[in-house]
Amino acid sequence: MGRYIVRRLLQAIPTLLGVSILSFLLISAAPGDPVTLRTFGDVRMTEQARQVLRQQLGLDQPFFVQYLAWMTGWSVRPGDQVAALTTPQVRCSYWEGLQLTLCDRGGGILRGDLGTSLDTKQPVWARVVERMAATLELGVASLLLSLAIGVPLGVLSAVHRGSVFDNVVRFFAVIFQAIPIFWMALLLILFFAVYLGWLPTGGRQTVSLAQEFDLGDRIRHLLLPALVLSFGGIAGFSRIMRTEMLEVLHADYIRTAQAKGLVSSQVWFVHGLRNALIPLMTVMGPAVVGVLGGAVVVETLFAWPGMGRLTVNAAFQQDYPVVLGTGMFFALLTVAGYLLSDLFYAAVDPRVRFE
Amino acid sequence: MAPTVSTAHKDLLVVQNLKTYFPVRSGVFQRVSAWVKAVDDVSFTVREGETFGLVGESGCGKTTVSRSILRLIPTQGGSVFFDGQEVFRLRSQELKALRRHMQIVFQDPYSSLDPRMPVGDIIAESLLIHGVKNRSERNAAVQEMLAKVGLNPYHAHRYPHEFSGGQRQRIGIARALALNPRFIVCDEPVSALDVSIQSQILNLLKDLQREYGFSYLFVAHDLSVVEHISDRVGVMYLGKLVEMAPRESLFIEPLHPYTRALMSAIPVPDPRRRRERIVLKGEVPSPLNPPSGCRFHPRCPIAQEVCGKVEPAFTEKRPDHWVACHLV
Amino acid sequence: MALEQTTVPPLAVSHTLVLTNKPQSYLDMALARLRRDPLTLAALAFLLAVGLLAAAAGPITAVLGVDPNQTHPANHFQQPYLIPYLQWLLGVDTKTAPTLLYRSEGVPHWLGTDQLGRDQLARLLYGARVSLSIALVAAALSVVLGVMVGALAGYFGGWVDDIVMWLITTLTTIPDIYLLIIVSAIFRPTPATLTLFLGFLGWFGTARLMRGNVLKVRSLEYTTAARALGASNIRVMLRHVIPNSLPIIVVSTTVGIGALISAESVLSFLGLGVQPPTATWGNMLYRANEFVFLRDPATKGFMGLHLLFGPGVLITLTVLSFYLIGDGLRDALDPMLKNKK
Repeated sequence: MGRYIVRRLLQAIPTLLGVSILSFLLISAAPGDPVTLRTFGDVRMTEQARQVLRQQLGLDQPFFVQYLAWMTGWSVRPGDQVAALTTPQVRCSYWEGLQLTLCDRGGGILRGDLGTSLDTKQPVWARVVERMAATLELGVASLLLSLAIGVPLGVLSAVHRGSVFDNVVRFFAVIFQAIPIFWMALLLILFFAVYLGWLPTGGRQTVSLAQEFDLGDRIRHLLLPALVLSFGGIAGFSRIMRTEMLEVLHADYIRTAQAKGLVSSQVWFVHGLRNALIPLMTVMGPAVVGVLGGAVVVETLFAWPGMGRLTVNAAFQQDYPVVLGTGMFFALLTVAGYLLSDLFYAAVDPRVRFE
Repeated sequence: MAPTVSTAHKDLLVVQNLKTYFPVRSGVFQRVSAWVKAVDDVSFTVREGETFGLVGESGCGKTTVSRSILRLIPTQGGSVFFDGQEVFRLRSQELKALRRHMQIVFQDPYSSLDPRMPVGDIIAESLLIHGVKNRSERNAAVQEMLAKVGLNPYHAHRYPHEFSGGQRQRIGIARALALNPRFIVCDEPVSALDVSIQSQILNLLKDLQREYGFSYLFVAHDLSVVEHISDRVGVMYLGKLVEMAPRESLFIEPLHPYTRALMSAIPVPDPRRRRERIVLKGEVPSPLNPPSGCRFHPRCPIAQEVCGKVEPAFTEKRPDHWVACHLV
Repeated sequence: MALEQTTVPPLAVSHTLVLTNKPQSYLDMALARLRRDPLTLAALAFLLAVGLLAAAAGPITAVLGVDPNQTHPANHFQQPYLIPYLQWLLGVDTKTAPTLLYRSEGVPHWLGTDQLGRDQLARLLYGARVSLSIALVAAALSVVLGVMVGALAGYFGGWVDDIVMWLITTLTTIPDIYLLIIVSAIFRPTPATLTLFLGFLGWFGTARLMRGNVLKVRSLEYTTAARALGASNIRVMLRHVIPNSLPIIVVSTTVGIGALISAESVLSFLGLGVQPPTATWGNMLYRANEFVFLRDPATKGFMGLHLLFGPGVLITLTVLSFYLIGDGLRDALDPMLKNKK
């Protein structure tokens, strides 16, 4: 298992590298001069100071060097230019052997610096972290909800194959995959929040002066968005569970169990469900991606202060560093999701480890 | 009838020291960590107009030999001469030209026919590849081939799934025949068929050979099938040729202990005759890590100390009868 | 009668039987199975109807006397004329319909008007054009890209395969809606560029599927047979590998068109897709969303609710139809999908 974990962790490196290259390509393609972006159009800055900044950022260097500078915060150039480039904020040094000047201007993606928001001039990192808890809360709640609803639906559907219940579940599984999530959300808001008035129309908690933590209030706010976000998962999980369960129910060991005289429900849940759940692990990665994708829409509609809403707002203000920062963050979360689901899969199904 | 020119002694296909290894990759970077020596230093010849049978248990490398000869898989060493041309040295255009003369009939009549093509197109594909542009010419050839293999001309418009296994194998034979080749590899052509169909296909192959005079390399694991069709037979064990002889010589007096064990397993349709059955001990070892010396020695009933240390040479112990064993 | 029977020799009967039994390609069998699948046929009929209506948007709106972009600020948020008209026909309510018609200067707005007084039906029809053509063209683009890239990766393997798979893994790591948002934030899209974005970001699934199938088909012996006959790589690919992968590609593309319609609507709904005044189903909902809670000060009734239903129902049914057809095709093409050994 230890070797498998190491191997799987190593496999994530090229993916993250790819994401960083892609992000760099996109930010390089964004309109606007990087120096102007970085100084927020500071008019007092002299042309000479801009030129120095440009060189410190390595913008006059080959693409690969620019990428390295963006990743690590170190820019490299040939020849001794320490005197020309050292400023109070930036330290430079000269490597005799390689005849290179190395400037450390601080920051860099690898050091957790995702840039500065054009809008609020805060570090992107801070803005993203501030919003992360809300997104995780929503995402985890909706994943749990889709598992709690989708898995039993799929199992019962398979056990009562061909019944009215089965057909209704399958019908709604298709409908829920086709219905646009934002439209569904609007209809639910209209019904539960506006018409019935049971639940709030949006937000993470009721706005008050004290802003104290009130669990009941938080749950009432969470319920509707989490439910909307879980529809896709419910549909997907119930479909997969149904197929897997049908397959398992026809397997020889289930027939043996039945032949031994075990009670049906015991057979289904003890022998069947456990083996049908394993393939479910393989779709947990894609399910995480689905939830994170849906979060953009749900957070926007329910005024949920999470990363998705941050992304959309930043996109409107053309705040590229924030948009890209959240994008990279989501990539990181996805990689982590895939990793966890693979490791879990390997833990329950030993065959995977020896492939 | 004019007497046929005796070409029986001319070598058509010469295989010399053929080596085909498959890499085994492992680790994070998928480096080659070992080689499976599927075919290790195999030499034999197929003469003009004859059928050379190649037998052995599954996994002994006989199919790999046949694919290597046709350059369908890469090889690690050795050479193959077809009518004097060195097959492994040919450039792609020369190889394509050579393929007219070397064809193959596959084991599985299901996966070897493209399910989306009508039978006529399957048979005519080789003609199309080799530049027969005229459609009516191709159609005529298809009709002729179908008739030759005992199918109806109107079958040309049907799809493979509409045929039985035996009929499909006939289609596969027609495809191989279309270019009028001089040499055909038959890769276990009857092992996937019902026993009742097997003899029909074997007889068809024999009849076609009589008519066209081409040579077969006939790969099989069933000795009785090989006995039925071959002029000469080679026996393979774990990537090596252990015995090679004319059919009569081999079946009357098998020399290698492995061949003898195989022979003893052939059922004899005579209840009064009793043969001693030689049962081999153990399993076939992995070709990843073959035994030292003679590869058969761990299972050999008569093995001596020398067998585990020195690899026996492949020598001509009787006229035209070659064997690789220290003790014969 | 007896005479007739004796004149027909039994051999001839069996002979004609053989001839009338036409050769059956897999396609024939699949079509026969599709013809017996009412759900798929209904979905097809629905799509055909939507397609025709969208194509005929010009003549239809001309006959109705409405225009998708003609604003009538005085006549905003008019409720659908359809229901009062039916009530008028039945004699239940003879007042509402003429009043509505008077307010809209004699032009019936069957599905009402939006906040600028534009006819909702006309916008739906023109929106269908934009939404459907974006999805269809993007799907075509991504299929061509996906099939090509997947086939190359699967057939040649080695480093080509490694690079392609790395690219696909990387790009699928970021949820595609984020990729679209990022790209849309940087390059504000027009319908044409949005189509390109969707197409260029939508081929990964097809490529992965194609690659897997190529690997499977390549291991089957008929491709080895073709190589033994002297067929070139290109020929093996075009004549054997791609035709045998086509069924699975057709199924995934059908489902993919549905997903693309969803993607366009989500992006437009967020306000990052096609910009107004060009109507698409998605950006119509984006506008409607702003007026969902708007109530008439006099009657306390919702004013903009009717704007919510048309686009939503159309998106749902259209996407659903593509999914159902995908499912139907999957079942009909099943024996081909298995590529049985």
